[in-house]
Amino acid sequence: MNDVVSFRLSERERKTIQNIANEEAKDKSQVARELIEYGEKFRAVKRFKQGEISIGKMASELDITITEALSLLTDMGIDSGITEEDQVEAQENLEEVW
Amino acid sequence: MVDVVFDASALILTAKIGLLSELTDEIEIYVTEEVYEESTKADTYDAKLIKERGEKDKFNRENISQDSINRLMEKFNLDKGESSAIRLYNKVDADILATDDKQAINTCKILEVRFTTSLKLLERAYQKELLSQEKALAKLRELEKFGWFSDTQVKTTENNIRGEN
Repeated sequence: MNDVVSFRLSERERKTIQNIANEEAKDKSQVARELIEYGEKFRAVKRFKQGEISIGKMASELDITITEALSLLTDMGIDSGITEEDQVEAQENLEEVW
Repeated sequence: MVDVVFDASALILTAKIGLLSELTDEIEIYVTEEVYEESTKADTYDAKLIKERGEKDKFNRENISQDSINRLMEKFNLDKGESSAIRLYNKVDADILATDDKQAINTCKILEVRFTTSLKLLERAYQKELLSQEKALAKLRELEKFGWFSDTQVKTTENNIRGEN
């Protein structure tokens, strides 16, 4: 069962929820919940892209698997953020031991 | 044998392109229980493959104390998988740690942990003649399709495999 929570929304935010509800034939609560979910994903993806968190941390924050997090990022056109320099170092490191 | 600790990102990607099975003759794979759990949670081909290899004892699965994992997690914004993998590298005195996560790579640099990536493991596996050129390029195409590494990095690896650099 969902909790009932009250928020103060601006006129613009209220209209946004109403417009989406009308367009998608959904009730306003459902739209608000979906927008929160999108926002949560966007926030996590942005934090990953800015190098603030790891892929594992992103997956854990969104309660998804790492495979799902990898797919979410690549579907959005976001790559690992690993640089050419990192790869050169990765190659040199590997050649030292194998 | 080379002792390699894998975190979940590298374990998943090497499994996805079918490289994991090719490596097990030359590489001793170490994973933490946290990484194993993270990598086998999804209902995907790579997760099933990792689980199958795990059940056949192809990996060394190790436990790391929660306290030491938590300290790294807090300090470097990592999750328990990446943190435990870095701790395991020190615990077993591994040769190298495989990760495809930028945050984990940055942490490795700070902590002087020798790291590599699945892209470089693929290239090295070809150089070590574990894979034919055709097979290595096919696996590289798989990695490219997934889109986790930049086009330039994929192209450089392709040129290295073709001997064009």
